[in-house]
Amino acid sequence: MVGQMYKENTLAAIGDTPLIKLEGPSKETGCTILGKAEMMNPGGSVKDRAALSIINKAEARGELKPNATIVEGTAGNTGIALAMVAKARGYKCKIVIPNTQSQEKKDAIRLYGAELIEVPPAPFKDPANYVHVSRKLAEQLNEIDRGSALWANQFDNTDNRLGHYETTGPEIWEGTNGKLDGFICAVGSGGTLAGAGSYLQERNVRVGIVDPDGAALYDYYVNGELKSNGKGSITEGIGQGRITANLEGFTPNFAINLPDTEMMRVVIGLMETDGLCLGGSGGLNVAGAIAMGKDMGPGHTIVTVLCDHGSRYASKLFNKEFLQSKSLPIPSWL
Amino acid sequence: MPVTFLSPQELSIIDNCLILDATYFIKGGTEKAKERFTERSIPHSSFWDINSCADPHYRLPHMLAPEIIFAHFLAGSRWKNKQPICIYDQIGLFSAPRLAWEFCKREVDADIYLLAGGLPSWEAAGLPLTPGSKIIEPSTPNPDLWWQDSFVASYNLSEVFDELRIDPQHSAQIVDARSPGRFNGSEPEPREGLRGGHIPGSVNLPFSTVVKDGQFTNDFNLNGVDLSRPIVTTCGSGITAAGLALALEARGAEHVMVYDGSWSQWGDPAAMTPISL
Repeated sequence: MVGQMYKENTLAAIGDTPLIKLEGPSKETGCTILGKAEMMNPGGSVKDRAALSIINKAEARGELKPNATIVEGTAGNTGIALAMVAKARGYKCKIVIPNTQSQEKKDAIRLYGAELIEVPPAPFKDPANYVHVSRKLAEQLNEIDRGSALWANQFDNTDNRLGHYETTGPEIWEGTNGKLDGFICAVGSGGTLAGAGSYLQERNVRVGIVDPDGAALYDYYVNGELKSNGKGSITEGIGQGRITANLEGFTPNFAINLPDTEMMRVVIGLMETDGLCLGGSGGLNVAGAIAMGKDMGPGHTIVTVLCDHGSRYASKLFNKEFLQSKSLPIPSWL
Repeated sequence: MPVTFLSPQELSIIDNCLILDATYFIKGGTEKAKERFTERSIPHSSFWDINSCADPHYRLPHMLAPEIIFAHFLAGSRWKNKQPICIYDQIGLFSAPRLAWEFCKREVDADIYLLAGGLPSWEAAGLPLTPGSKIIEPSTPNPDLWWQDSFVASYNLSEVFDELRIDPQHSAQIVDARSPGRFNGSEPEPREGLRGGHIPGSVNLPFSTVVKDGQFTNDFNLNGVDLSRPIVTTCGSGITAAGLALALEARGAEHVMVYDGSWSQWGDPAAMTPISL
């Protein structure tokens, strides 16, 4: 509404996040490195956009009855985001989660009033895998009563990517006044990279993917083969081994793979130079932006995504014993 | 600890020294250097590729590597704790000082030597040459020999730029090791696409003037450089800037930084940095 200074409701506060100039990375590269502050969404992460887009579009297609149940298999921010959107819209929410996930994560989702269904861990190929269990649960509910359940399916539901194409991409373009040279981020579902990335590629921005160790997309985009480098990463929510429906048809202009040591260097560095505390995926994204800046040379403007706040990872990313056990750099103040 | 020069004769009689060929050619890079190394090298030496032990994300050559990459290369060199290290290049005294500077600033726990006059002077002394076979590849570091200090002796572009905004009395002196012709833009840069000229306010102190008989001399003209004030050295790509830094330190300068990107970065038209002719 013209002249209205407040957001109409909680969900209206999703998106329209600020772009923040990251001073340390900008100085390191001689570029203008900007982070899109997705941790400032009401649910605390970039997944708020995916959750809102998925639910909004299902509603618009008439797929959701009032009082329906939103169902998903997730351990992270998507669960929190769906639980929040469900509450705000009057839906129920059931989240299927591997029982091996940390207590913090289970508590965070339960905090929002979602019903948590814990299952034993199983590989993706196994029908007992938590993602397949969540799909079957939604199917069963819909069999009994059509329109009473929505399987969010963040990895292959292209409403995820479409939401980023409609909001994140244009916000970045307008926020930089069209003076933008590069955009880079990591992939979990591929929604952010393919959605915002394709919008920006249409405007001649160079779009890159940064892969953590152990993921298979770097090799895919560089050598044509989905192949993991066999190492592991402590980052959560990113690192993909297949081409999801959200990634289909999208090709980045630039691909790099960065190890956790570089991710931690950047996470620690950002706290020291910028007072900014990010989770591992945000740290990897900024590390990717730095690498892109070094490659492009000074004077360029590069945007990346600050997915969520580091406080969500206190027991790992900022835990001295855990970092030592992984031979990773430790913040000097721990 | 400071870098000392060894004559070919002195090097030939040292026992248990890690000898490194750190050659880089402006035309041909380290590929050409490796080829030449396999044809002729000082016996028992290994080739340290300064373009490989570098930050992989830059398009610029031989930008300083993150510590972990350096640690992998050091492990690959099979350097033993406290083993003395002697560095040379095939040109005489060009890129070897850059590697020696890096070893010093990373505080590798060893005596670091440079071979006066490099391979040409070894050869002129009639000492034997062999085809080189050890090209150093990165290898897993021994955790006891690895450290995690931050490396602070280099400046990036933003830091050099910030110096231009401080008044001349209090800023660091920017000292350019390139030839006078390149400094004033009358001679073309060897790398294509770069603008001509120098960083505004910088002083020209050509690297060739600090070298005599294959090692650093103490009686070069300082051109007004004040050794008691902070200094940032720069050159074409950061190689002779490091050599100049060592020469200035040998003469008593205490606060010398190297601008790693040097003219390859500052002179890039896309950098939109100010330039004087």
